[in-house]
Amino acid sequence: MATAAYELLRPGTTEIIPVMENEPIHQSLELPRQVASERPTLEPVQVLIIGTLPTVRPEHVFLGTLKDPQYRLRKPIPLDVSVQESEVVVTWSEIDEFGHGGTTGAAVDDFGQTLRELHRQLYAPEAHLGADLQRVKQVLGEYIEPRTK
Amino acid sequence: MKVHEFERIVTKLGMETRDSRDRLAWLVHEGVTVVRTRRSHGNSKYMPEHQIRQQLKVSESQFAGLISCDLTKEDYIKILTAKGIISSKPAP
Repeated sequence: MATAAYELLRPGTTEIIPVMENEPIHQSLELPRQVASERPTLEPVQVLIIGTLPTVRPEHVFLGTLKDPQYRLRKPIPLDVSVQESEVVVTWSEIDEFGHGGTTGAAVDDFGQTLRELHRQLYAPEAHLGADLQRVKQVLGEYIEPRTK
Repeated sequence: MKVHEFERIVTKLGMETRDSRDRLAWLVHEGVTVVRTRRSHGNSKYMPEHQIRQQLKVSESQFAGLISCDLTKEDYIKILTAKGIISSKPAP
Protein backbone atom coordinates (compact mmCIF):
# COMPACT_ATOMS: atom_id res chain seq x y z
CA MET A 1 0.00 0.00 0.00
CA ALA A 2 1.33 3.47 -0.93
CA THR A 3 1.01 6.47 1.34
CA ALA A 4 1.17 10.21 0.53
CA ALA A 5 1.26 13.39 2.55
CA TYR A 6 0.08 16.84 1.55
CA GLU A 7 0.24 20.35 2.93
CA LEU A 8 -2.62 22.77 2.61
CA LEU A 9 -1.21 26.15 1.54
CA ARG A 10 -3.06 29.34 2.36
CA PRO A 11 -2.53 32.79 0.84
CA GLY A 12 -0.97 35.53 2.96
CA THR A 13 2.31 36.05 4.80
CA THR A 14 4.26 33.81 7.05
CA GLU A 15 7.31 34.00 9.20
CA ILE A 16 10.53 32.32 8.28
CA ILE A 17 12.61 31.26 11.15
CA PRO A 18 16.28 31.20 10.26
CA VAL A 19 18.01 28.00 11.07
CA MET A 20 21.07 29.72 12.69
CA GLU A 21 19.25 32.38 14.76
CA ASN A 22 16.21 32.40 16.98
CA GLU A 23 15.00 35.88 15.84
CA PRO A 24 11.97 35.63 13.50
CA ILE A 25 12.15 37.52 10.21
CA HIS A 26 8.99 39.05 8.80
CA GLN A 27 8.97 38.62 5.09
CA SER A 28 6.19 39.29 2.66
CA LEU A 29 5.29 36.41 0.45
CA GLU A 30 2.90 38.43 -1.68
CA LEU A 31 3.29 37.94 -5.39
CA PRO A 32 4.41 40.85 -7.57
CA ARG A 33 1.62 43.04 -8.72
CA GLN A 34 0.09 41.84 -11.98
CA VAL A 35 -0.37 44.41 -14.70
CA ALA A 36 -2.92 43.61 -17.40
CA SER A 37 -1.81 44.06 -20.94
CA GLU A 38 -3.75 46.51 -23.09
CA ARG A 39 -6.58 45.19 -25.16
CA PRO A 40 -5.88 45.19 -28.88
CA THR A 41 -7.98 47.65 -30.80
CA LEU A 42 -10.12 46.08 -33.55
CA GLU A 43 -10.80 48.14 -36.62
CA PRO A 44 -13.73 47.34 -38.89
CA VAL A 45 -12.69 46.08 -42.29
CA GLN A 46 -15.03 46.01 -45.27
CA VAL A 47 -15.18 42.73 -47.16
CA LEU A 48 -16.52 42.67 -50.69
CA ILE A 49 -18.17 39.38 -51.62
CA ILE A 50 -18.24 38.81 -55.35
CA GLY A 51 -20.97 36.51 -56.57
CA THR A 52 -23.98 35.10 -54.82
CA LEU A 53 -23.89 33.75 -51.32
CA PRO A 54 -24.41 30.03 -51.07
CA THR A 55 -27.94 29.08 -50.10
CA VAL A 56 -29.10 26.09 -48.15
CA ARG A 57 -31.94 25.44 -50.60
CA PRO A 58 -30.80 23.84 -53.86
CA GLU A 59 -32.03 25.18 -57.18
CA HIS A 60 -32.66 21.69 -58.49
CA VAL A 61 -33.70 18.45 -56.80
CA PHE A 62 -34.59 15.00 -58.03
CA LEU A 63 -37.71 13.15 -57.01
CA GLY A 64 -36.58 9.59 -56.48
CA THR A 65 -39.64 7.84 -55.08
CA LEU A 66 -43.40 8.06 -55.19
CA LYS A 67 -44.98 7.33 -51.84
CA ASP A 68 -47.55 5.06 -53.39
CA PRO A 69 -47.63 1.27 -53.30
CA GLN A 70 -49.19 1.20 -56.77
CA TYR A 71 -46.48 3.10 -58.63
CA ARG A 72 -42.73 3.19 -58.88
CA LEU A 73 -40.36 5.55 -60.66
CA ARG A 74 -38.26 4.22 -63.51
CA LYS A 75 -35.85 7.14 -63.11
CA PRO A 76 -35.61 10.29 -60.97
CA ILE A 77 -37.65 13.30 -62.00
CA PRO A 78 -35.69 16.58 -62.24
CA LEU A 79 -37.40 19.46 -60.43
CA ASP A 80 -36.59 23.16 -60.45
CA VAL A 81 -36.91 24.80 -57.04
CA SER A 82 -37.96 28.42 -56.61
CA VAL A 83 -39.37 30.57 -53.85
CA GLN A 84 -42.41 32.71 -54.57
CA GLU A 85 -43.84 34.90 -51.83
CA SER A 86 -42.23 32.72 -49.13
CA GLU A 87 -43.72 29.59 -50.73
CA VAL A 88 -41.42 26.93 -52.15
CA VAL A 89 -42.46 25.82 -55.63
CA VAL A 90 -41.02 22.82 -57.44
CA THR A 91 -41.63 22.53 -61.17
CA TRP A 92 -41.18 19.76 -63.69
CA SER A 93 -40.91 21.93 -66.75
CA GLU A 94 -41.10 19.05 -69.22
CA ILE A 95 -44.81 18.62 -68.51
CA ASP A 96 -45.54 21.96 -66.75
CA GLU A 97 -46.46 20.27 -63.49
CA PHE A 98 -45.73 21.74 -60.10
CA GLY A 99 -45.98 21.29 -56.37
CA HIS A 100 -45.73 23.84 -53.60
CA GLY A 101 -45.48 24.09 -49.85
CA GLY A 102 -43.88 25.85 -46.94
CA THR A 103 -40.65 23.88 -47.33
CA THR A 104 -38.87 22.10 -50.14
CA GLY A 105 -39.91 18.77 -48.65
CA ALA A 106 -43.55 19.83 -48.47
CA ALA A 107 -43.43 21.08 -52.05
CA VAL A 108 -41.92 17.81 -53.27
CA ASP A 109 -44.55 15.82 -51.37
CA ASP A 110 -47.28 17.94 -52.93
CA PHE A 111 -45.73 17.38 -56.34
CA GLY A 112 -45.61 13.62 -55.81
CA GLN A 113 -49.28 13.45 -54.87
CA THR A 114 -50.22 15.63 -57.83
CA LEU A 115 -48.23 13.44 -60.16
CA ARG A 116 -49.91 10.27 -58.99
CA GLU A 117 -53.33 11.82 -59.46
CA LEU A 118 -52.39 13.11 -62.90
CA HIS A 119 -51.12 9.68 -63.90
CA ARG A 120 -54.40 8.05 -62.86
CA GLN A 121 -56.45 10.58 -64.80
CA LEU A 122 -54.41 10.47 -67.98
CA TYR A 123 -54.32 6.67 -67.99
CA ALA A 124 -58.04 6.31 -67.28
CA PRO A 125 -59.71 4.26 -70.02
CA GLU A 126 -62.32 6.95 -70.65
CA ALA A 127 -59.77 9.75 -71.14
CA HIS A 128 -59.80 11.42 -74.55
CA LEU A 129 -56.73 13.58 -74.66
CA GLY A 130 -55.52 16.32 -76.94
CA ALA A 131 -52.07 16.35 -78.47
CA ASP A 132 -50.33 18.07 -75.55
CA LEU A 133 -51.85 15.86 -72.88
CA GLN A 134 -51.00 12.81 -74.99
CA ARG A 135 -47.41 13.98 -74.86
CA VAL A 136 -47.68 14.50 -71.08
CA LYS A 137 -49.06 10.97 -70.76
CA GLN A 138 -46.17 9.60 -72.79
CA VAL A 139 -43.60 11.43 -70.65
CA LEU A 140 -45.28 10.16 -67.49
CA GLY A 141 -45.07 6.65 -68.87
CA GLU A 142 -41.33 7.05 -69.35
CA TYR A 143 -40.88 7.91 -65.66
CA ILE A 144 -43.67 6.08 -63.84
CA GLU A 145 -44.80 2.50 -64.04
CA PRO A 146 -47.43 0.62 -62.07
CA ARG A 147 -46.07 -1.88 -59.61
CA THR A 148 -46.73 -5.49 -60.41
CA LYS A 149 -47.65 -7.78 -57.53
CA MET B 1 -53.17 35.12 -57.87
CA LYS B 2 -56.41 34.99 -55.91
CA VAL B 3 -58.93 32.21 -55.65
CA HIS B 4 -61.65 34.30 -57.28
CA GLU B 5 -59.35 35.02 -60.22
CA PHE B 6 -58.73 31.31 -60.70
CA GLU B 7 -62.45 30.63 -60.47
CA ARG B 8 -63.19 33.41 -62.92
CA ILE B 9 -61.00 31.69 -65.51
CA VAL B 10 -62.61 28.32 -64.79
CA THR B 11 -66.09 29.79 -65.19
CA LYS B 12 -65.24 31.82 -68.28
CA LEU B 13 -63.72 28.84 -70.09
CA GLY B 14 -66.39 26.44 -68.91
CA MET B 15 -63.78 24.08 -67.47
CA GLU B 16 -64.82 20.84 -65.87
CA THR B 17 -63.84 20.67 -62.23
CA ARG B 18 -63.42 18.04 -59.59
CA ASP B 19 -62.67 18.58 -55.93
CA SER B 20 -60.08 16.08 -54.87
CA ARG B 21 -57.03 16.74 -52.73
CA ASP B 22 -56.85 19.89 -54.87
CA ARG B 23 -59.42 21.57 -57.05
CA LEU B 24 -58.75 20.15 -60.50
CA ALA B 25 -59.89 21.90 -63.65
CA TRP B 26 -59.90 20.54 -67.20
CA LEU B 27 -60.84 22.19 -70.47
CA VAL B 28 -62.74 19.75 -72.65
CA HIS B 29 -63.16 20.93 -76.21
CA GLU B 30 -65.41 18.88 -78.48
CA GLY B 31 -65.04 15.84 -76.26
CA VAL B 32 -61.26 16.07 -76.02
CA THR B 33 -59.42 17.16 -72.88
CA VAL B 34 -56.91 19.75 -74.01
CA VAL B 35 -55.48 21.50 -70.93
CA ARG B 36 -55.53 20.95 -67.19
CA THR B 37 -54.68 22.98 -64.14
CA ARG B 38 -55.35 22.95 -60.43
CA ARG B 39 -55.31 24.95 -57.26
CA SER B 40 -55.19 24.14 -53.58
CA HIS B 41 -58.33 24.35 -51.53
CA GLY B 42 -58.72 27.28 -49.18
CA ASN B 43 -58.79 30.99 -49.77
CA SER B 44 -55.52 31.65 -48.02
CA LYS B 45 -53.50 29.02 -49.89
CA TYR B 46 -50.81 30.28 -52.22
CA MET B 47 -51.34 29.76 -55.94
CA PRO B 48 -48.28 29.80 -58.19
CA GLU B 49 -49.53 32.06 -60.95
CA HIS B 50 -46.65 31.44 -63.30
CA GLN B 51 -47.08 27.66 -63.18
CA ILE B 52 -50.86 27.86 -63.64
CA ARG B 53 -50.33 30.16 -66.63
CA GLN B 54 -47.89 27.65 -68.11
CA GLN B 55 -50.44 24.88 -67.73
CA LEU B 56 -53.01 27.00 -69.54
CA LYS B 57 -50.48 27.61 -72.37
CA VAL B 58 -50.84 31.39 -72.50
CA SER B 59 -48.52 34.38 -72.29
CA GLU B 60 -48.56 36.84 -69.39
CA SER B 61 -50.71 39.33 -71.28
CA GLN B 62 -53.12 36.63 -72.41
CA PHE B 63 -53.32 35.33 -68.86
CA ALA B 64 -54.13 38.82 -67.63
CA GLY B 65 -56.82 38.97 -70.30
CA LEU B 66 -58.30 35.71 -69.05
CA ILE B 67 -58.51 37.09 -65.54
CA SER B 68 -60.03 40.33 -66.75
CA CYS B 69 -62.73 40.51 -69.38
CA ASP B 70 -60.39 41.14 -72.32
CA LEU B 71 -60.03 37.56 -73.52
CA THR B 72 -63.08 35.44 -74.30
CA LYS B 73 -63.33 31.67 -74.49
CA GLU B 74 -63.39 31.92 -78.29
CA ASP B 75 -60.16 33.93 -78.19
CA TYR B 76 -58.61 31.29 -75.95
CA ILE B 77 -59.69 28.46 -78.26
CA LYS B 78 -58.05 30.34 -81.14
CA ILE B 79 -54.83 30.67 -79.13
CA LEU B 80 -54.75 26.96 -78.35
CA THR B 81 -55.54 26.11 -81.96
CA ALA B 82 -52.73 28.35 -83.21
CA LYS B 83 -50.34 26.59 -80.83
CA GLY B 84 -51.48 23.15 -81.95
CA ILE B 85 -52.89 22.30 -78.54
CA ILE B 86 -56.26 21.98 -80.22
CA SER B 87 -56.23 20.35 -83.61
CA SER B 88 -57.99 22.43 -86.23
CA LYS B 89 -60.84 20.76 -88.05
CA PRO B 90 -60.22 19.67 -91.61
CA ALA B 91 -62.20 21.64 -94.16
CA PRO B 92 -65.41 19.80 -95.24
